[in-house]
Amino acid sequence: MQGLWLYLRFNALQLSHVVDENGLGAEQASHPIAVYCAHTNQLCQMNAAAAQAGLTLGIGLAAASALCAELDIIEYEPEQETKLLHSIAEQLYGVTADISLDHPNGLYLRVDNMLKLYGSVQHYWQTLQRILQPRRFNYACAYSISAVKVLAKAGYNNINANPNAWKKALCGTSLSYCELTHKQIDALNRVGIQSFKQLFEQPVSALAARFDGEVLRYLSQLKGERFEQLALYRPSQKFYQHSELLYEITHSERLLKPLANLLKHLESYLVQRGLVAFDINIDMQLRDKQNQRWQLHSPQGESRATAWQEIAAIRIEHITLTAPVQGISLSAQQLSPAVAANDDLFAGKRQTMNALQLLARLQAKLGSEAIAQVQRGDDFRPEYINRWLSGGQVPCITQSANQAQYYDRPTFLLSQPQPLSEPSKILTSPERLATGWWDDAPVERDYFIAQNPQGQYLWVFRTADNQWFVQGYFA
Amino acid sequence: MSALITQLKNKQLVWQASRTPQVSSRLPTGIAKLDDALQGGFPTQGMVLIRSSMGIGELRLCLPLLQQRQHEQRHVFVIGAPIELNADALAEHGIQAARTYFVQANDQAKQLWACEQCAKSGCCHTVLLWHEGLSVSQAKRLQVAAEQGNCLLIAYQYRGQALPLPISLSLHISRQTEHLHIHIEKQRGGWPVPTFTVKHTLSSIHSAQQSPAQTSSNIVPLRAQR
Repeated sequence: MQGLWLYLRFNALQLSHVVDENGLGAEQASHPIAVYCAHTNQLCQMNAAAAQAGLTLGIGLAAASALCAELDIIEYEPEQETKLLHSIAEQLYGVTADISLDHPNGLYLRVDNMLKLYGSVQHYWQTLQRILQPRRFNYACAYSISAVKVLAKAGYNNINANPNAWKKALCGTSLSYCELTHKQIDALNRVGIQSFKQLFEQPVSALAARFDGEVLRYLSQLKGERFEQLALYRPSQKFYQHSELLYEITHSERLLKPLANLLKHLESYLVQRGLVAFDINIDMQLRDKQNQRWQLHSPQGESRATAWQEIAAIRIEHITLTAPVQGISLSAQQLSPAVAANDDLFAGKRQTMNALQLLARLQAKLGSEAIAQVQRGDDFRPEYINRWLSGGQVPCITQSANQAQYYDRPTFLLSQPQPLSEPSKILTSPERLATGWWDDAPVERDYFIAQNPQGQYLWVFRTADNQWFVQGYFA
Repeated sequence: MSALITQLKNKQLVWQASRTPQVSSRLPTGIAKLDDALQGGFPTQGMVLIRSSMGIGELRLCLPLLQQRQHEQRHVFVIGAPIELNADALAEHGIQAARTYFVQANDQAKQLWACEQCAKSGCCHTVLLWHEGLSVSQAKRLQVAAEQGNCLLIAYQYRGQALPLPISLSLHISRQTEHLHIHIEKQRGGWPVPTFTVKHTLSSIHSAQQSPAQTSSNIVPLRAQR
């Protein structure tokens, strides 16, 4: 027998992510909102206010507008539902292991292997419900993957681990909910099979004589006799959430309310995983214009929605909208594990941030190339002494590199020697450097310490052809 | 009279001995005369302004301070150095390269921003800054940041006028052959000290000027043409 499966079918997925101008979700909104599918010319989702106005699902656009003049219509977009489905799966992934997406609005969850953790189906279901709370959905639970979907579509809405209950329920369900094509259902109707009960009563051999392999395969899948394979969901490494706005927003301050909703989602995503985000991108879909991107940055990494809201409130002053905003999406890609600050209890003054946080902050503002570390090159030529490492490279410091080999080296080193232009007084004996004949930069120089009339100590050298250059300053 | 004093106090133009506790810990520079004049050395936190011309030993004067604080396991940030610092010279003064970061920003405002961030972060024991003159409010900000982060901020200025800045210490240094003339322009919590002269040179120059007769071995150092 295959495992126990649960199917969740979200009825108003797209509608649930519509936010009106007061920052209210579509379900709480006081005016009617409906999602309209142009392909079938039907209303496919609507809120409670729309139902009160007398609308029903499945009616056409003309009928709907005749019934309710102030109805807000949103066009149905399966791609957007798929994205929302992904975000639900992501939330559920924290409490259940095997999830499979059924585009655009269904989820398969495997229950039986989670029972070891949760003890009973009821306990497991309660945990799921806590996450799914505000959404509207139909659900069913059965020992067959195909059957569970049929039951959920029929609105079975019953969680029961009893192996016979679901079969009884399936027998009472209309054939119209099954996954067979209209043609196949018609063919079944013509031979007098109107319901699942009648379908199951027929011997397989009798059906095999009339119907092709596809119908028979589906039948055995429904009975749970045949094993079905599903591609299981893997959570992505980045956060993405989109929110469609019901009203076009022209004042940038007004964006804060819908943004707060998205940030709450981000917070729950990050907190569940113990992550923090350094940068979040806010993409605004503008009317008749290209999307406008807006980036928020938090140097020490932040997961709390309130902290992000504060940053957003500061940054939003600098934003000018070139066209009205129709939708906002929020994405966060650079996520890293949250680290608790390790302060020294006895150090007296507390460090407000650690070195990495400081570096992250500096790099964010100045660019990663602006911060560098130096490593001493293994060469005698002053041009090769400084090896600059930037962009997160860490110098590899050996024991010998930490010990000084020479004395009186200039603190300021010119990477390009400059001609000595002033009469300077030589103060030391020469130090000859003749090296590099094996590569393309041979040098033969005598180095001296000199002092120029301004009192600066210079590190000068004389080349073989008696030219004088300044290599550094003893600052 | 008291209104005038209050007004001056509000503008932070008057320092009262009773108000600010003396900074007890000091970082000796290793130059006895300078340490005496500074009541033991540089302060461990706050901003120090050093005005001088470039390349007279102003950085070498401070490197021993950096070396003394290495045990704190904190970092050194070098911001806006006009010329690359030499890794060899840092090693010579015993400064760990792994804990030293160099920041180069393309304008002064960004450099000052970076400096403030570093100073108040608490993870740097010393910040070296090169700048082209600070306003009173900028200096005040940096001073507060450095005190917050328990950090010594040494600011070098090669050009420009001396402004009375609200900082811990302000020095003017000039060189005459082997000697540095040090003028303490301002010292928080200390009395004015007249300009004094210290000998400050390089070890090889120092040894070269001693008579070669002192070398006991038979190795005679080469003498350059004078």
